[in-house]
Amino acid sequence: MIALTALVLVVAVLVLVCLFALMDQYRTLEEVRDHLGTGDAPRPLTHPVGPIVASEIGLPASLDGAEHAVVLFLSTTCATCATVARSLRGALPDDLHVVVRTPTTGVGAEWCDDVGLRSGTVTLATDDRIADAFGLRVTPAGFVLSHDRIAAAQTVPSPRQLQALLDQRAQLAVGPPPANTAPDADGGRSWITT
Amino acid sequence: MTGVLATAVQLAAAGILLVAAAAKAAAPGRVATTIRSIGLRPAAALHVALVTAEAGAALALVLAPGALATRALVLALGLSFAGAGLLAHSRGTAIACACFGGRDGHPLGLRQVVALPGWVVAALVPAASPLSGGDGLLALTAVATGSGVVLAAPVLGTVRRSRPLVAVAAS
Repeated sequence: MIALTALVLVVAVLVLVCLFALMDQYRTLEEVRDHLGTGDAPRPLTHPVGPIVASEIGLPASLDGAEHAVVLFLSTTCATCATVARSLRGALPDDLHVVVRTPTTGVGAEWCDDVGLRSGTVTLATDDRIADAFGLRVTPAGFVLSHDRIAAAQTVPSPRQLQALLDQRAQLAVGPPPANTAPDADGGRSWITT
Repeated sequence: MTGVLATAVQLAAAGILLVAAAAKAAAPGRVATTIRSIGLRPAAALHVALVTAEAGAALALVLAPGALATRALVLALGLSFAGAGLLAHSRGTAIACACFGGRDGHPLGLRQVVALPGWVVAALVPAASPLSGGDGLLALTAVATGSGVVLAAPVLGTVRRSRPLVAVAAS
């Protein structure tokens, strides 16, 4: 019996060593990625503070007044955007809306087909109207909209960061603005960084 | 009551030493770097000695807690940890502890000195009711298995964080 217990102890310690070795390998991988600058930590983005009425800038009216929704900006010219789009596998969560920046609707529709997005479920933006309203400078980028205001904005450098953004959207949601909210300085074009 | 408390203290110390030994065995490079950073040579041999001493002390604490050799070994380990902490602190540079291998990025320093009384207690606590050989091994196996289960969650988290990436690309 003692011999058997000793054997189990040896096996348990070996498994422990293997677990630690695995963790050490992944830690080394993270260090290599940090050194090479290929990590996928999202960067916060500056964005306008004022209200954004989705339907007025060409986004679906269903986003108007939404408690929380994520607007994901992708571009037909960005390889990471294609990777992020493919990770959705054509199935968009109810509160995720995708805006594809594209030179023409034809190019945008073709790109959507390539990455598995049904073009009818996304907004193809051929001009800067939507992007300007969000203060967009880089894609892929995600904005959490809550009661017509941007609650958070960040780059989405990988599919898992998109998932992380979707996971935290409810936590980032802000309460509805008070009814007597005064207009923001600069005509609602003040900027903040989340 | 004192006997139960003493057994608990010795089992806890044995568990910590066993996990530390396993972690150090899995990350020889990091531990050797720490040993070299505090000015000790030869790092590879000291690494092997440290792992052996920790694993041996863990076994001894369970199988022969009252033996003079066990007390001396645990006390020596505690003193060496504190000494390494003092050495690192006196150099004024941040040296990764590697106390628990690669996952321990905390700096070596006063933490190890503060822990010294704990090691002294583990070494000197009276062993009123030492476990039998079978029970002791069983307890240590439980500690090792339990540590593995507890560690599995962070490993899964690390694996999830390390999925293939793509770099940010501006449009």
